[in-house]
Amino acid sequence: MHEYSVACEIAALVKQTALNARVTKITLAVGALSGIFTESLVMYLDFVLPDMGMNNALVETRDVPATFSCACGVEYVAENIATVCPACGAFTRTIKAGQDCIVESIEVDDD
Amino acid sequence: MIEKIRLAKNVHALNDMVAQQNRLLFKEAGLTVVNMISSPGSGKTSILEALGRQMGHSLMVITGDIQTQIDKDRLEKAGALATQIETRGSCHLTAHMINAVVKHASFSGVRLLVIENVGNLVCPSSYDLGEDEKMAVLSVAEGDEKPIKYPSLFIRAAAVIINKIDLIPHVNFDMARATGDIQKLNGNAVIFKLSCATGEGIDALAAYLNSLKTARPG
Repeated sequence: MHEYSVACEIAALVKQTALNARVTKITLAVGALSGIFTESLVMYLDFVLPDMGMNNALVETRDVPATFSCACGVEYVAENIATVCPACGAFTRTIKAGQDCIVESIEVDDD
Repeated sequence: MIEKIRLAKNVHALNDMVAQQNRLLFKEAGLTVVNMISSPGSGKTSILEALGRQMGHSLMVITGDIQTQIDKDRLEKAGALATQIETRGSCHLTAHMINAVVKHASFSGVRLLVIENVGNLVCPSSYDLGEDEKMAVLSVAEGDEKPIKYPSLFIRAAAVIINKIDLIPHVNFDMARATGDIQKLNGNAVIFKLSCATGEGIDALAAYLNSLKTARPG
């Protein structure tokens, strides 16, 4: 829903890191529980990056599944935050991964 | 030459940096800060009007809407201090928007700052504004299944207000289901049942907000 804002945040973060070097690639890790729809984010980045002087930067995304750790000791992957533990059926669990959207790395051409 | 730079930064890193600046500023001013989030029309402003009538200028509200100063006018009329942010389309408030308001604000006499976010059950929950805690509002007319359908807010909220309980006889709202789902998503959430029409629950909420203040050192 707010992928345009997130695209602007990513562009600002990348620009701050790359300074004047030409950005050739941006690698993102998108968590299943981050509330971000990958296709929509990439579409907005296609508009936002050229506006900030980053033409032709390739955007690569990696999906990070939602991983939960149950009090019973079992760690499991589920698509839905409302899912119960497949081993014991309990809902008391900690979210281990999949909540965030991370800019993992960028590649710059500093020639 | 192509060089790879490892960032490993959350996409909200720049927002979070400004949120931290806001947090320091709030701490220096001795404020308790609550980020109030809900769908449009759940009654956030009405709840804050009720608090404003009790607290007067010790309550400051920064209220976000797509457009108009309607909420600011209502809150000032109720007795609170109020500032309006018109986002002109943006569906959530950011730490930068709050910083622009608070960096030059005077907090003399203010004990509680409530940031009334743009009405939206999804996006605002992702943005740290520098608050002490998030408070969710759900009105019974929205339906009892909203917490489980829109979990991102409810897993992060320290407190949840179930509002408009005077309407329960007229709408199909299963209180046990709503509170059960909230507790399932977030076992630590404090739940308040409230009606701005009858005033039920307002005092309990005011006492809770007051206890947040006394719980904090300095």
